[in-house]
Amino acid sequence: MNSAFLVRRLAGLLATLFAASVVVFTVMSVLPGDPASLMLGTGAREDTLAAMRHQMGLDRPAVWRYFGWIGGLLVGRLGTSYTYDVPVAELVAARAVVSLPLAVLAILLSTAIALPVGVTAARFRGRVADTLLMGAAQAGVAMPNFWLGLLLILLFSVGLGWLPASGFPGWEAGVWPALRTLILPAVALALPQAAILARVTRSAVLETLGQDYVRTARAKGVSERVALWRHAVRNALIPVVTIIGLQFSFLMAGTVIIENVFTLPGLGRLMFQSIAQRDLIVVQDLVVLLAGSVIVVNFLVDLAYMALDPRIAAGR
Amino acid sequence: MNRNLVIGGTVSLLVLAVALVSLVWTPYPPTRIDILHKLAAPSAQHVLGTDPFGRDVASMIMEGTRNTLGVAIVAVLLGAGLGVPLGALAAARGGWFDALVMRTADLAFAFPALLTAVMITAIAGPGAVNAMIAIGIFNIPVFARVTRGAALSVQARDFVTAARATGRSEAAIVWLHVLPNIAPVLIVQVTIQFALGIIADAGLSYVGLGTQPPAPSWGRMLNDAQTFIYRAPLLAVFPGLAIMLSVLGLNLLGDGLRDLLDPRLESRR
Repeated sequence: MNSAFLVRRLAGLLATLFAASVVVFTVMSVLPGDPASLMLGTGAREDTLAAMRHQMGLDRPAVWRYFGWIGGLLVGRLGTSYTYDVPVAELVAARAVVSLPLAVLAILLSTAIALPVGVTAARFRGRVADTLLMGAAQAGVAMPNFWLGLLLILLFSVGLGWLPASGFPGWEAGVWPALRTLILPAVALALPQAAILARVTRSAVLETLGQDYVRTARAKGVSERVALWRHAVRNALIPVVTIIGLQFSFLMAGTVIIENVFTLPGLGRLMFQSIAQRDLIVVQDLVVLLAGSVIVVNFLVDLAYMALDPRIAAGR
Repeated sequence: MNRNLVIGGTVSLLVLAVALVSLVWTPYPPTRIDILHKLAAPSAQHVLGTDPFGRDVASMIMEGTRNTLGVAIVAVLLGAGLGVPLGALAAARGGWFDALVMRTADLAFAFPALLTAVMITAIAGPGAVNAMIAIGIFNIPVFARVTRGAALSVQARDFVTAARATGRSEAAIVWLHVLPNIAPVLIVQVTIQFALGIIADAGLSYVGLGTQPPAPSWGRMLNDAQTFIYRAPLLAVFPGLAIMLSVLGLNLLGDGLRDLLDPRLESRR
């Protein structure tokens, strides 16, 4: 792997992370609402408020507060929640064990559905299978995931009674009881994403199927299967991986709403509760963690390009 | 004949017509409460039934169409109104300005749009206007990027060089030569962002941050329906169908327009 390219990308990654944290901090600082008076209520005396602000470090200059916050973040100290009076890291960790498995499940499901669908549609381009699959994809793209969630509840919880409509028992209740509650939300998140991904896969594979090297491979006498999977699909993976990376961002946002549909105690619900309670330090940490994870995932996608297509690193 | 364009155009016009008709007529006043006839099944009196307060679902969906389209339209106007000039200027100027605009756009993409919209509306206060702004802000970098990319390729063409040679100002070149040539790309992007805006608005109002009651909204109706999902499952179906139909119509329209306006891409489909 080209190390100069890697170093340059890494520097870009750090700069973006820094800029994102500055944006989040600035936005949260200029927002109306004094955390001290929110905590103590409207009846608090001015000197009590001042003491509280001092205790929370709110009387220090903004630059100081920023570096205090970001420094703590780097070593895993996310500050203390105003409302729960526990370290934010604990809150986040307790919720992440719901949201992360949900997001991973959704990405796996979406990819597992989209790749075969997209490749099949490309292979049978213009035929009945293509029309049906792409028609379904059009419909899937147009479905908001929270409505799909409701429909899944209607079918599998209300109608058939197979899976729970809401709630999460916690992993200590056992892997399967916990996983069961994540199935419907994951499907609701995954299907609209799979629809987008299938369309991208189809057009990417169509593009590579028309390339000379695929024709050459066929002319050499390789089977249609090898021509399709080893030559066409493999080279079509770059745009597909890009979209999977981008979808991570959509998924993180999607979980916020989906967790509300299925009342799952994940990061999205924590975000809502913290906003409602004006627990701004939690909101600030959550937003920067989510933005940071999106930035890092996109960086990893860039690295994946190099593995898929060495010309990208060499060419720059 | 372009099938996507015909179907998508028809559906989109229909949705627009419903929104416009709701300005002057709905079967019932959408906020009229009629507890005696609550949770009624679809019938001749109430074609889509009534909700837990006995309000007419069809009337609420009609007015919801207007509210949602309003949010999505303003969000697109905001995004295109700021994004297109920024992108065009970035392409024309190049240099530090270009770098600044593009790096800012990159940064904006790091924030999951819907999540940040949730944060903005939750903190600035829920409501249709804040929803428009929250959704619109994330349209700005999208339009800036698309405009810049398309403008760069137009600017390299001979007729732009010729115009520059005749002494036209950079602003005149952008206005007279670049924008008309990238209009097709922008129009397609408008349909995409419009559709995404509808889904985002529905999501925001589902969690209670968009259009506020008593004004009906599709997302809110779905949220209300969830409470009664065992007694009146159809309530959870109709507003979702309205969302899906509007988005589907716009997406097909976008695909159709792309084929019509940019025939080079058609061969791939």
